[in-house]
Amino acid sequence: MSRRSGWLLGLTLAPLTQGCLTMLLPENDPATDPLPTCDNTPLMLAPGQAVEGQDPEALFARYLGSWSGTLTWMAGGETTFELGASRGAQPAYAGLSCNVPTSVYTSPEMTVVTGDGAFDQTGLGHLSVGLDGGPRAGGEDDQSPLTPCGLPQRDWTSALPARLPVDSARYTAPLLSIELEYPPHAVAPVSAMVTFSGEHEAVPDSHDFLVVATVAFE
Amino acid sequence: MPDSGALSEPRCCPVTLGHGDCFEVYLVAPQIGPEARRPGVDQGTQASWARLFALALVPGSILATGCLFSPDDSSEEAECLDATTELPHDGTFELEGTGQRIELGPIVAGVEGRTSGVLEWSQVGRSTDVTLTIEADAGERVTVFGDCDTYRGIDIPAHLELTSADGVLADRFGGHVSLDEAGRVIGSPVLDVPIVVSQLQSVLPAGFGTTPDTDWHLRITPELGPEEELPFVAATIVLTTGWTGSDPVQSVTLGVATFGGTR
Repeated sequence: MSRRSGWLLGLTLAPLTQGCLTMLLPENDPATDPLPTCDNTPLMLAPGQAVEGQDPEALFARYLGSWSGTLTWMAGGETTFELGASRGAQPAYAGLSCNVPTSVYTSPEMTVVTGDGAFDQTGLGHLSVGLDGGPRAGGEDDQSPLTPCGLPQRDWTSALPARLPVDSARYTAPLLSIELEYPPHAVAPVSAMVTFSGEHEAVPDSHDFLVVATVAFE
Repeated sequence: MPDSGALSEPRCCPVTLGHGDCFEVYLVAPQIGPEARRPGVDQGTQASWARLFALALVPGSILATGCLFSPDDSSEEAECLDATTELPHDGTFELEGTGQRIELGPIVAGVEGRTSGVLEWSQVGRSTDVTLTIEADAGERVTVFGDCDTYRGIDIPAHLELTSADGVLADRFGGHVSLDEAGRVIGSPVLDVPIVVSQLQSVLPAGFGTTPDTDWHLRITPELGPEEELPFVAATIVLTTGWTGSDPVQSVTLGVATFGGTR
């Protein structure tokens, strides 16, 4: 096989490979192939301001409320789980995509309480709703419009560390997160996952990530 | 809280670590362009740990991805045929254009070796002696990359064995050692093997619970010396899960091995 035929074979195989494609593709030349510029700067909304004829508060309201369920710790044991999300006083924003409003979002007030005292927090979350009324989530497969903010260690209760699968004292800036799961087109979560993440003190730049508990809402 | 940029929405929540991390092993294509050529490579000069190669133990399937194919601007030498071939460990790769012969035996032998050190189990704060052994797979032929006048590198099927004195680790990994024409490591050496978590119970926190249907793997990431040389100077040991539907990839740092020398 000549070098040229090898190169051609490489090109032929390129679509079938993983992680190799970029080395085979020429880079875009901005001078000849300019990308369109978009302004995606979010727009803060004044109270009562509509977006494309939609009332942001009405869009938010569908996804606010309180839900009860059962939390199961991975380390063993169950307890009651209460989650609340209310509108709060934070402003609303319109999310733009190339200057066109596509969603509204805000930071609702959220409460998380468990019967065993491991969770007893009030804080902010993130609520994002598309102008079609559906969830405007972070990724294509992410159906969660509502996300409680992560809980840094300073916000933990004294009962929480004992429930974790690892010794949080061995971690730098450990964080607990609650990820709500919604079925398609649903406005209430059906389940949730509590996760732990952090950098182990012995390994800089490590990214440990563990499921701490799961929640099933009633 | 307004923000600007490609993402239209600022998220108040810190990004969760690990979610979506990709632990795939990427085998980087050898530098086989003209700039990588080094005419006159003498086989004997590649036989030491310090200069030789690199360990890129990868799943066999990775080798089938075609990553070893790389475009090279070779229009000026279109007549020089690709001579990539499989040879026995004691074979010879001959550069027809120059008549140079590259003995593979010393290169293969140079891959092999044993290094020892100390493994600190990071979840429980306990340490133990650890030994890491690399052994070429005598039952498999090596693949030599090159053409009529250039030796470009070699892929050597090999085994790596990691053993700890406390008996927790006794794992043997199969894979490939890939070296460029100068004997440098090619690719990221990441070792991955399925493991039963109960085997690691003594080095896991007491509260570490797992669901029965979770497939755990032991992932070991050795670190080469500053010049991408063997032997390995350290290794990080992580317990991790693979992709299972919509479940996140979990990972927990189990330990760090520091190797102090060869024997």
